[in-house]
Amino acid sequence: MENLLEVKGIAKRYDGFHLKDISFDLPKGYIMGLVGPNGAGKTTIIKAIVNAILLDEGAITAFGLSTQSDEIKIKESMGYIADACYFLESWTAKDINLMMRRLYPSWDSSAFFAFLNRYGVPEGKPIKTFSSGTKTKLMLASVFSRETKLLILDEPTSGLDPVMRDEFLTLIKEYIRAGERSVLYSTHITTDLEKTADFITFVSGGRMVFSEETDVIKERYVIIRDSLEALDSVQDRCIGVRKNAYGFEALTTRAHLSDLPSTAISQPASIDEIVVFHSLKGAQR
Amino acid sequence: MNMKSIYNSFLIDAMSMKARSTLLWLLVIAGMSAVNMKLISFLFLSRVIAILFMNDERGLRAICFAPIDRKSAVYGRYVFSFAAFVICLGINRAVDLLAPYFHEAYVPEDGYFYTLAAAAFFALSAIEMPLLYWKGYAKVRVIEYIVFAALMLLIARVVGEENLYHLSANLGADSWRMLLMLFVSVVLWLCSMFACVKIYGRKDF
Repeated sequence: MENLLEVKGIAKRYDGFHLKDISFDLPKGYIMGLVGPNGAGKTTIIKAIVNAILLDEGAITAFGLSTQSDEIKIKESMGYIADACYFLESWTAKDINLMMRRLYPSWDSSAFFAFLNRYGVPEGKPIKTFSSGTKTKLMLASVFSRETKLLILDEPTSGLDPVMRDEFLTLIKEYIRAGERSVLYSTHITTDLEKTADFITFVSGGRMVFSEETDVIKERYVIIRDSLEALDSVQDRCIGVRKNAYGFEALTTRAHLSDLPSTAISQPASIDEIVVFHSLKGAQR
Repeated sequence: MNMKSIYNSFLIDAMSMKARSTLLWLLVIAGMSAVNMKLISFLFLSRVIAILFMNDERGLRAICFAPIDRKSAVYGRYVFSFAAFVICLGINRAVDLLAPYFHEAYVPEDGYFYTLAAAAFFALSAIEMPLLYWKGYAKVRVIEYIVFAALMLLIARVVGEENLYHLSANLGADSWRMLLMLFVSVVLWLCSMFACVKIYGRKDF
């Protein structure tokens, strides 16, 4: 499989936060979801990919080119949506069209305005009058109106209403359908990942927990439930434990199922549960 | 050096000045020129260029949506800064050509004056641009006026305070000093550009 994006052992240190040993590959023709609790390092990883921050260690390549030395070439084929609107607030969508068509030879003005009309983004009003969801729609319009091979999206669905969120998921599935393009997007909404992501990279506390195919992840983990008396005997095999009035529930791997007491009830874990219980493990450590 | 990328950066800066206030700045420059405050109009340009940095702090992140890198972003901004100087020069020359038709006593400035004005602009820009890249608009605007006043005092000392607003008749005698000032200030300006590349190249967004 040809990788459109390769992240190799990147690290970045800030006061009170250390992103460390992050490595993953995004093959051509697939969608990868980047997930993790607040402050896990998702935005830092995305900013490192688009070269908005400088790395302390590691390297990132896109289309086989270094994001640090071949930044301009990469940006011509890569679309990026930031967590905050990067356009000037006094600009209108018309201004953005005027500028983008000069910046990118592949810019399609009619596609841009069609996108804006379809999703109700005003063409002539300044961006400062937009809601956060409308600003995201404008950024989406700007990346979907030119030829790209890779989209890097930082929480693109935050601020979007459920209908637009669903439309977005359809858009990115359509985007990769020909098998030549890829998408990396971060999100808190794990149900979106189950619908779209072929791969999931999960980060917590600045460390990578896993980066694997979604089906493999879902196959590996199970949720078990049992009484509190049984907890001591299984706790070392559990990834995050949540106690409740009836006993406990915990995340474990399918490989441990045979070692569990017969009273334990197991069921496949959802991506949401996998993320939540891994985060609980981090908090309980 | 990627010329297309530098042009793109310049284009974004130019687009970010697309506002009614820009027209006001141009009128202010023309007004200063008409009332014989030409030198101040050149120094005042630094205030206009600082708007670009204000826009950055208001969320404009060209390197996020445009095919440019940090180096091109800095070079593009210096090209913009030079273009602003050329526009200011054009306005002042236009006033020199047109004003005598309306006001007979008007004395147009000569090449010596514009050499001094250029030297003053490049020197102020060479001080201000690295500060704006380093500390940002919000912090620098406070000291901007101090730098502006200091430079005015320096120029007043060099050319004589009484000659500050009527320079052309007094500058011709020392053209070498004028040219040397221009040369030094342009070299400083270019050095400041490379310093800005270093400063901006180390920034995290």
